[in-house]
Amino acid sequence: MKHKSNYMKTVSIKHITRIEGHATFWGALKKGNVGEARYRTLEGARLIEGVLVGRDYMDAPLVTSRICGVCPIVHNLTAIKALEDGMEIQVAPSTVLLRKLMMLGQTVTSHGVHAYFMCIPDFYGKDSALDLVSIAPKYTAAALEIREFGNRITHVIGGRPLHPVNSQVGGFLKLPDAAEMKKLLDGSQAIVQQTLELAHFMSHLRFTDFHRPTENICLSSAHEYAIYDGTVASNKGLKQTPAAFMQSIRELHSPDDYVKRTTHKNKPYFVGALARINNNWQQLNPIAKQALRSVNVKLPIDNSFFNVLCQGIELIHCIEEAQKLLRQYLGMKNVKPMVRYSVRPGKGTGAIEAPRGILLHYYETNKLGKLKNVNIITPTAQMINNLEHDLVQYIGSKKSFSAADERKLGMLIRAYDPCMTCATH
Amino acid sequence: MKKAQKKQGTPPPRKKLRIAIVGLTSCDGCSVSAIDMGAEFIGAVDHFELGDFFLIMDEKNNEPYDVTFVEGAPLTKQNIANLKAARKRTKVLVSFGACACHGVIPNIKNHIDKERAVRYVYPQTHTKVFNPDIRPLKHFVKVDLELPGCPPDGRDIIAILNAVREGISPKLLENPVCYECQLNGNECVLQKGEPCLGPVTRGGCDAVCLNSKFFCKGCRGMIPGYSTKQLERQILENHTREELNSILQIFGIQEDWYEAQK
Repeated sequence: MKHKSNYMKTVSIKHITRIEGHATFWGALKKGNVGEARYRTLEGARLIEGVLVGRDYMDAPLVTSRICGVCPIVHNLTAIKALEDGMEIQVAPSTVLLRKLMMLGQTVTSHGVHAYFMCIPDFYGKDSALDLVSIAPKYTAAALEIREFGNRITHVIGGRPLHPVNSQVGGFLKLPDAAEMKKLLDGSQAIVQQTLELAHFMSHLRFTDFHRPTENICLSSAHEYAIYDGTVASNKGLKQTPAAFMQSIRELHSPDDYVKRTTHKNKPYFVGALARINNNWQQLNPIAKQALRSVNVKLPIDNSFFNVLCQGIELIHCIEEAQKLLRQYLGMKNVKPMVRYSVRPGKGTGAIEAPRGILLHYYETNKLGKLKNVNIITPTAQMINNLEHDLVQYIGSKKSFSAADERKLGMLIRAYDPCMTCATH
Repeated sequence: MKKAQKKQGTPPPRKKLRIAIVGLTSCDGCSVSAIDMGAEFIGAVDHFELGDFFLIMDEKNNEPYDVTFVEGAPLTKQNIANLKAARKRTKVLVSFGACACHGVIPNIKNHIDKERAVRYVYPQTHTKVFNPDIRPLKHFVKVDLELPGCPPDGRDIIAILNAVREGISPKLLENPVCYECQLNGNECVLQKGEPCLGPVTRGGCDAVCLNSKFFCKGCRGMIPGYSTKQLERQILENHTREELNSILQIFGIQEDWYEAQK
């Protein structure tokens, strides 16, 4: 920690809790109302890319899912997509549909734990998700049921709720049980209702007034609210393939940080639910769109605190979408779990919207299917720069730090849904 | 909180066990598996006093705990210090999940050129990266119980807590994954030539991978006392030694595997 005379006030959160993984924050207010902010990981370097080089390509989906326990499915599927891209493997439409369903389950469980259990306690001045049991018993029960539904989707299709085993390059080892899929569909309407009530509850929370426009980057698709597939687009006119985007962003190497943060055109940018809602809200499913309209916010949203509410809106959308896809799947005939493919050398990129923003995987394989080069750029590595810019502005707007301000700083960090284990893979 | 004095005749209320769930470097999946129990988890922790669980609460205090679950492997100096501190303030320390028990993915570098691995990921700053060999928690502190699995089954957490509460020393299942797989009526992938580690791997997972026809890679570690010789012979009929080692390294069981042949 630096102690210089031009720091009027300093503030630190040694261990930021209620986020995924471990991080620390230090901020200062300097003369002339200028803020300074340092947000750093406390995770060790697991060298995931380094240990993958030389291994069989089939290990990539398995190993990378262990990057993150909150979003293992998106790592698993992004790895699979990147490998299929490199080996030019075309999977069946049913496989794409099942993967999209897994992603919806993933988004629901992740948002469920973050938007509700991690973030809501702050709005009541509390420090623990367990306090919500008595503060908001009805919504706590709803959040648990919604998460349970997301977990059931990933269990039925992926083989278990976390660290999927069934999804592989080329498709699935085994098709999901049709009766279980039917059960999911039957139970989904009640969950739509629950998500709607939860979003309604969240929309009445008092969000901090804060504004800082930035570039919002996410996947976009002409066909749907993009999660599983799309081109990379932004509110500043960006439109690129994931491979080109991965080339165009810069990973920064800093000697005091294990996270390789990124910039795009030397500027910070936002990724995550707020970016998706800002860019693609017209494609939300009807009930989610209606819920967004009923919220008193002006689009595009330039207040990062609202990322939490955007996740709430996405919860509704995801369950509606899951309903649609489950119905579609149950109407499909002659579904095959896996396509035949041959291992070949190639370079491939995969991109999927993780709950916290766009996730990119790149693999280069040789003719034996051994991994020659690996690169993984996570949403959190992309958002940290933007978060620090927000923190700097927020701190700069203060004259001193009250306990309430300190909590607000924690809330701002939390609102981004940073995942330090992803960022520090 | 002070409880009202109970009427005479009724036994005094039992003191709640104080528990903590702390994380070193890992994916946090073990902690998520606790949360994934949903209402069951919330209902269960009501019988205990949860004092520290980074994923859903700020730390309440530094008072001694009865049981501490430690997830992850120590990858930073701070991790090691935190682990030692956790040991000091708890009666029972549980290695929570496969990273804590065996090191898992990060331990792969123990078996390859770890300098090359760190240079690959951090080409410009590798000299500043702490890059130790990865060791399980028991290498650093006394561990009272290992709760294996990647991820572990959330219900095992409750089982352990209940056992400690009743004063029983908690025990893990000692049947192989193979047994549970057969009970589930799965087709044997080992007989089809896949390098399945189910016959020597500790069960308790309901053969979840094999239920999806995904061969067992031994995330729950080996059952003590089992020899790996015969299974190794069988696997080497269809696979090279290098392939076998590569599988053993994923969940950090290579050393235990060869130890079990002595």
